[in-house]
Amino acid sequence: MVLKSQLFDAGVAPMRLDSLREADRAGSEGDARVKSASAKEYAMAAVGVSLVTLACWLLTAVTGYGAIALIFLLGVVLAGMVLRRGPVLLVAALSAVSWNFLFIPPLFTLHIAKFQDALMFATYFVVAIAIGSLTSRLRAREQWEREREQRATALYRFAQKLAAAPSLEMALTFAADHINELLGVTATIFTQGNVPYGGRVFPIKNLTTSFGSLQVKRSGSGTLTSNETQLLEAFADQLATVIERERLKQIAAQAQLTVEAERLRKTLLDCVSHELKTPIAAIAAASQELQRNPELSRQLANEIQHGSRRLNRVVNNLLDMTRLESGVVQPKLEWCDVLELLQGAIEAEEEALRGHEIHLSVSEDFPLALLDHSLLEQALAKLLANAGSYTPTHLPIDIAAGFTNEQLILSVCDRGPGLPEDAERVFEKFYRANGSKTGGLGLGLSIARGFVEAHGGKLTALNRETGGACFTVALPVQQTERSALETVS
Amino acid sequence: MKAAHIALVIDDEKQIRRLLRLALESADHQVFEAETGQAGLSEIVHRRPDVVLLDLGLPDMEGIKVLRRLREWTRVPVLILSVRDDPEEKVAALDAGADDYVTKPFDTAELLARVRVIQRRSLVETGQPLFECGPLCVDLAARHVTLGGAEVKLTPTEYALLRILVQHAGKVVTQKQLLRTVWGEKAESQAQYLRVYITYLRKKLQPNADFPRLIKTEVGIGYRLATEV
Repeated sequence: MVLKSQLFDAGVAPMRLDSLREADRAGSEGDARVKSASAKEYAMAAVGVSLVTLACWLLTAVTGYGAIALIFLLGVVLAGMVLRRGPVLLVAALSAVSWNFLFIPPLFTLHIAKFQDALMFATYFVVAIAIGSLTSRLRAREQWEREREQRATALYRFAQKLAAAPSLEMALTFAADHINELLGVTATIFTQGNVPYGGRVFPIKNLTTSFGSLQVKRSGSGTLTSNETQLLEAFADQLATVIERERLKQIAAQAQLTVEAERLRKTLLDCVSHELKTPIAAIAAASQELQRNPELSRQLANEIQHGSRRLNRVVNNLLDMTRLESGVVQPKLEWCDVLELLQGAIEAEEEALRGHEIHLSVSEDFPLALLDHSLLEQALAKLLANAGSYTPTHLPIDIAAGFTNEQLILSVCDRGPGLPEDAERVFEKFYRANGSKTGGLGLGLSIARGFVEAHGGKLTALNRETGGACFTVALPVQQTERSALETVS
Repeated sequence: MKAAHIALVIDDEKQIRRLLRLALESADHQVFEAETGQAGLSEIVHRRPDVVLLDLGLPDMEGIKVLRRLREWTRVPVLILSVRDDPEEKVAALDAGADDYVTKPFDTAELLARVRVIQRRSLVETGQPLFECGPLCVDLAARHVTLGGAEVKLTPTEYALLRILVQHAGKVVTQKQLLRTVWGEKAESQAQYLRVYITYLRKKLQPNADFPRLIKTEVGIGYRLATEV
């Protein structure tokens, strides 16, 4: 019951730590002085016997010397409840001798005249010794139980603290702090390398693997008690469990990553081989046909051109992705005309935008912005290509630019089927919307986001209320008004 | 029949050389080939080409080095062929004396147009003051600009900008070059002036969608004035 209440009473941790420490100290003092059997207790035993003897001396006239034995016996039982085994035995012996010397006739000798007195004395002596040792053994057991309970509590608190740690490093720090606070020592946990000399070292290991060591130093010449040692051994075992669990977790995460990488590699391979081989097949077939049927040269040359453009697009996408992943994309800032940037992107994607009206809402005196024209134009072009391929023919595509809170906001809004439930998925590599009509690697939006992020901006996607998707680029950029730059020459 | 021009192709890719030969021969060039930078340099001495097509990625030395070496003693027009879409590389080549560039994969028609433009002597060299392209007519001698017959009023800065583009019509002119000539050496990195005035110039030279785009932007590099529309 005590254990339980302590376990679930989390709010009073410091008090509990103190009480544990106190108990621990008491235990350790007992441990340390067990051999000298606490002179204080022996003194208490002697004083106790003297007091009982005095009381008996006053009572003996009324009760007679036989009943005195029971009073002495009562004293032994009481002593057994508060004193250790040695002093209790002393009480038993002393009271036996006192009884004999002071009460059993002939008085003031150790000689016992009557046989029944001798028998009574002998019985008294055995019973006193037996009661003394039984009660003290009971007490020792109770003490041991209490210590065990306290250890269990300490261990539980320790485990709880470790489990609450967000990372292994934090867990180890928590553990060391906890041990320091609990036992008033300096604990250090080593998970690699050699442990420097000093203090007590507890191995952190399970049956098969060693994970490191727990080194505990006590300031001054203080040594660890057996109780503390047991507790620290338990802590070390607990640490071993935590470290092992963390390692297993890492291995599992690694495995998960490998599976994911494998899946991505497979998708890449499938996708790339399809996207590369299709135009190659078209080019090869068209050029062979050209040799057999020179009169079809115009159509066939068109096919070859179409195929090579597609091939070029795939290769460029792969190169862009590789550049982004290797982290070499560095924006080169220059004062740019945003309108020109948008027009450049529109021109670059002329083919994908064919059949769509472009609504471009950018004022003519839109400020100049300090940015990487090429990088951003390419990002915008990818967004336009995406809008063009998902918007049904003859429906317009809306492009807008503006400045809000020192940020350049560019948006491309289409009238296509809109985003999937988890909008972020469209930025995943190789993501293809269900039923998308065009070929391609599904890298465009991922690259666009990469370019925008390399520029320190954000690319987000939202569904429009009127249907279709809106992609918005937000870039922190400097701007300057055109009128400020007019020169007189 | 003797071809009108001699072209030297310096490229390590045989297939590219073969295709360039086909294209250039169809455009009335006699074509010589070199596989390496060294071979290219000695071919320039021997063949005295009218135009050099130089790949930037050569096996023995970097194309830009070949360019610097040949610029030490000849002004032969050089067209750079590059696989990388990296503006810096192109600007470096243009600064080192290249006349223009094309990016692989290139459009043959575009390539031949570039080859034609860089071989043409500039208006200044021919002493020809008149430039015409579609509706645009610029008379450098009279400082007179008309669009579809109507006079276009330009500020001095706008005119100075147009003049340089006209003098290099068809060729790319780097931002640095434009800034230095119009605004002076100190303004070389102040691209914002260029952006503003190119916008003004465009507004006047292509007032609405019916007019062709005359001034083309080469992102990260500079601008190019169209010679034909």
